[in-house]
Amino acid sequence: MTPLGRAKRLAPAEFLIDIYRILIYDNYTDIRYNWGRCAPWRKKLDTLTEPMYYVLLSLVEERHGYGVMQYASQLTGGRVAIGAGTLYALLDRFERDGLIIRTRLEDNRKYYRLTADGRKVLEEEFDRLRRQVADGECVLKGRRMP
Amino acid sequence: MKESTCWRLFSYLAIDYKAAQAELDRMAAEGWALEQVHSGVLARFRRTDRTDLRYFLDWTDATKPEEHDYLQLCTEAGWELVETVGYLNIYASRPGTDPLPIQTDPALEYQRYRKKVLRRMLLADLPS
Repeated sequence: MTPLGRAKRLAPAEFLIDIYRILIYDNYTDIRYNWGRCAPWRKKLDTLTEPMYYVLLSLVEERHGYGVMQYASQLTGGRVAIGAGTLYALLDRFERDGLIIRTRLEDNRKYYRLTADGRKVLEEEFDRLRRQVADGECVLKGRRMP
Repeated sequence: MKESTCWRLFSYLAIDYKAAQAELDRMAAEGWALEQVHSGVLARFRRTDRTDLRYFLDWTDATKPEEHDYLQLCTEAGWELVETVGYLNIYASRPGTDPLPIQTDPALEYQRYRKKVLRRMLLADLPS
């Protein structure tokens, strides 16, 4: 069920907190992001979702938005599908987090590329996934534990 | 002789956007393409031969420059903005394309809904 479909009844305090977050907290998200980019306590991405992983993977080489959608679909044989709106939100977040940079504008298309920070995050995720696969092989395939 | 246009009531709130989308898809399946929404409540449809017509409803503030990038990305992905009704933007699939839904991540979709619609609705109601 999507978050829109939740039928949870909010207590009055929760309701007020929700209103506060919608009206004020989210308004300052941009400021917090920009300020946080140079702050050491910046909240880091803990793990990447599958679309996040493939967007970053696509941007190892310079690509424009639609190119990212095509490449991710081609790379996964259509298994991972990233809609235009979803991709736009991810590119916006990655750019604000300093994981990607805008390199040029051509034919009204913005091109992006991974930064050093972005590559680090991607490689950390790659290592995490590899460890998960290794653990799975130990348990499911009966391979010897390292 | 078949009629070439028809009218339907289209009085959906922003929160009912999925229902509005389902209605447009149902009309498209019956061979009707949305032409215009008058005064935000009356939708005019015209006959179409297209069998691949689909709709997606989303929100955006077209006055902001960064939103042009959003619209361009949607266009490249196979969606064409056909009408704006209040907070809702109505996109139709372009002929010969079979585009993915614009939003494929429900969590990000909800975030965008909160940012683009809920805040504006609440702020508009505050003075009253």
